[in-house]
Amino acid sequence: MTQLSSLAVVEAHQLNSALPSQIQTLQKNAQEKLSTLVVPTRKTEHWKYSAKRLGDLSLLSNNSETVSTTAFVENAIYIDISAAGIDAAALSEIEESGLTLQAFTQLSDEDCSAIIELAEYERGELEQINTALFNDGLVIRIAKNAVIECPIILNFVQDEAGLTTPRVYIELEQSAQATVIENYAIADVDGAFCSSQTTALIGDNAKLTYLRQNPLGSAFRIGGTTRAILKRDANFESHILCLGSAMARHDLHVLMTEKGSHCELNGVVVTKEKQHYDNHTEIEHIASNCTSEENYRCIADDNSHIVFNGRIYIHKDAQKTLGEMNNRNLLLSNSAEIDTKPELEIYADDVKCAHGATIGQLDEKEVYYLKTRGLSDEQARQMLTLGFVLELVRAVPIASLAEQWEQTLSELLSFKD
Amino acid sequence: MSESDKEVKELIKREYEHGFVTEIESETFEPGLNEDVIRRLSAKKNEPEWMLEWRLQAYKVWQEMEDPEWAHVNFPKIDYNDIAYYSAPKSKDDGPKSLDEVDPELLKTYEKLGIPLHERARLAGVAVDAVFDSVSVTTTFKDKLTEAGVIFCPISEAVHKHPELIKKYLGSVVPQKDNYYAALNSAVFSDGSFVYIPKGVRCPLELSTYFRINEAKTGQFERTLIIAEERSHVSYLEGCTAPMRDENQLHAAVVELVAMDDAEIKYSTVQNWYPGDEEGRGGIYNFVTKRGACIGKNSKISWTQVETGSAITWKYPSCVLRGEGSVGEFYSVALTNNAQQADTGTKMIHIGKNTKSTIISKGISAGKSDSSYRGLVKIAPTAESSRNYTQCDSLLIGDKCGAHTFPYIENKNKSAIVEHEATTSKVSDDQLFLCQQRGIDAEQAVSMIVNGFCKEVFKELPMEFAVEATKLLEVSLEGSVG
Repeated sequence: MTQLSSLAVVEAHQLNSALPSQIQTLQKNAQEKLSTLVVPTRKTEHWKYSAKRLGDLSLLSNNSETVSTTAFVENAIYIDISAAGIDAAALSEIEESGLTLQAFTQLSDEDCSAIIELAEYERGELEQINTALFNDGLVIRIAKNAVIECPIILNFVQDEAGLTTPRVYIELEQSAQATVIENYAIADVDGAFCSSQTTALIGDNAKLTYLRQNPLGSAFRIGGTTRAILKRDANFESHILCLGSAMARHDLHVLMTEKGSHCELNGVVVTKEKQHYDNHTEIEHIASNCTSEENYRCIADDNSHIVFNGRIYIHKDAQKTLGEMNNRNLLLSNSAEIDTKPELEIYADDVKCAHGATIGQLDEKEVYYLKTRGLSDEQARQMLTLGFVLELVRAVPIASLAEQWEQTLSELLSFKD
Repeated sequence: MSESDKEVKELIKREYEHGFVTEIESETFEPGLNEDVIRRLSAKKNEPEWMLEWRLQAYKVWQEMEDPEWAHVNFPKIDYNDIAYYSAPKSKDDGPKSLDEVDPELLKTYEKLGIPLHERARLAGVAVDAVFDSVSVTTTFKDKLTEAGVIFCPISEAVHKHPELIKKYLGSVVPQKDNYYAALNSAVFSDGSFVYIPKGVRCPLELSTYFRINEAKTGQFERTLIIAEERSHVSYLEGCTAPMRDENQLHAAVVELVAMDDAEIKYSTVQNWYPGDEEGRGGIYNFVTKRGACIGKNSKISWTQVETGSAITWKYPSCVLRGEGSVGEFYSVALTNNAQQADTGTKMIHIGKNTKSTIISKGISAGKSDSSYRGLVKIAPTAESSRNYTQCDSLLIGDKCGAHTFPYIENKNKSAIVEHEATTSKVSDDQLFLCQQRGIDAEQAVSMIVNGFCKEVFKELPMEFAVEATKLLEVSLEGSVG
């Protein structure tokens, strides 16, 4: 049992004195909390299947290099977020009506309180590490009624080993709309560890489309948390491409706090070799008349390991809720492992909730059908395997990105001879 | 509040009908647990040395364990030194030789419970081993069973008469250190049933046990061991009741089933322990470990349970599917009302090739109760072409209750197919309206809808149990509409 506070990287951490005092207090409190938390083991329920992938956290060190990346979606706003922090000067060069970009260091006291309030929802070991150790953060604010057409792309870049803790806060005011893409570029070396946190506050009738692509790797480790808090009639749509690495985990936490909100969560997970991916999603229906839909498809090949833990939590007052969760898995190898746990926790009676989970392999009848049409066995299997996930990829609202994802997946799923 | 709602509210006050205490002289150990108590318990039963050693070993294991806290239930910590570990009806002789010698007060108790002990038993074709507090009181129809070669006797008797079987199989499915309550049971189990079905025998009667906790401040720790040899078949029924008391009583049983090649064991339970009053005072803590091992090829173990009682239920009847082509089944209805809490489900461990399992779980929550399904389906790398289908549905009645589903699915074999489905909904207003429109009152309508909801499970129960289960649900649900 190692306490998180005794990790070298935590002890060596120095607060960024340029941060507003309120934020510094938040970090100090989080650091104190670390002494009550221990490094997750197999016995930690929410790390049951992934704890052994965490690696030796005591070897982690701070990382503080700066980098920049190239564009991959046209007509987009690019923001680089690296261990060194946020380049405030670069932010001020971006001009888009209705969009305000700020670094945490530039925040007024009032702005800080909003961020600190949301920190109350935080939980989990990695998230606490992020809160205790981040150097700077990015604030994206979309003004009332503003519709930002071009996607905002956040590049999380890490070029060498060490721990990075990027942090983003997104706020959409009433009836605002925006698309945010999170792109991770992490050096595939041992000891590279990224613990990110993104919180989105989606105002009345506002809509956030959230896309996240986790890079492919074999050595780096990544644990990210995304939290969306939905107000009245708000809409949250998320599409996630999950490619494995030594340890990859994403916690997606949606809180539907006011009536009439809707969320749709889609995820595609593909792992090969010795990779790992763990998705933990939780949809909390706090207010009545909200709807949620969740679809995750996973494919595990070789010696890889996929974990899915999806939970729908319906609070006492969340009557007239509709919740649906679907998790389908394809296991392609006898040395691979898929563990899935679709959970329902329901405290209101007038609800309709359903979840389904399957683990299986390709339908031999379907393979046979394609073979009768002249495809080779290999082609048929490849087509069906790809088709299994493409349905979700094609739902991605940015066409050029959907194409890229399709390309990546078809390369990844092409069979070796 | 509508007229029908009022009727319903009145009906809710209906009390637990098995809540009587039988006034018979009994011999009970003073509360407390230590090695000495185990030695005395063992001596009381005239047990051989190896049995005592086994108990003491379990006690050591238990002392090093901690009570599990992962279940979705809340209760104050149990003081294990406040429980008496042995209570038996006092008898002047060593034990009753026939039914006539059994204390008539006791027989009256069973009559009140409606269990078929005398002639009624033969009519019903059921052989009963009744466990009163801690000891087996009487076993009926011994002759008929002996003729078929079936051994059906209290486990304390089996320790003397069939030590080789007990030594071989006791703890082989549920080891002493399996979990906290199993370890406790292994140390202090007082009695239970032992069943042995020889090769190729189809048990001529349905075997049945009836458990009753009578004495205050006692715990009941019975242990059941059923062994079905090659090509044999047995159907076993289990029922339980307890008097109404303000304090909580502990029931920590262990059931072990062993099925050889082509054998089939069907284990049905109707659990109606005292659930506590409306506020959640009193009631039985039902912490039970039940597990079956399908060792032989094409063997089959089927669990069917109807759970309506107990303040807290913590129970996961499981199957370890080791033999090639073996089959595990779990059919469950768990109903909670008032302040009851249930965390129940099953574990299906697929190890052999072509193994199949089916899980049908129906949870019904009413009042301010909480019911959870917790299940594990595990496919080992060796379980080629195995198959699992799970369906767990929850029905909510009232807005203060909770229904939860925690299924764990672990797959390590690519040729296995695992399917899981779950739904949660309430008795819809449309359904109620339709029934009421046709002259069926709200109460009846709900019971009808609930019965329909549970039909898939009830049809798996032996006939006489199915009738009892339907009635139990009606009684337990009374007053929960509105």
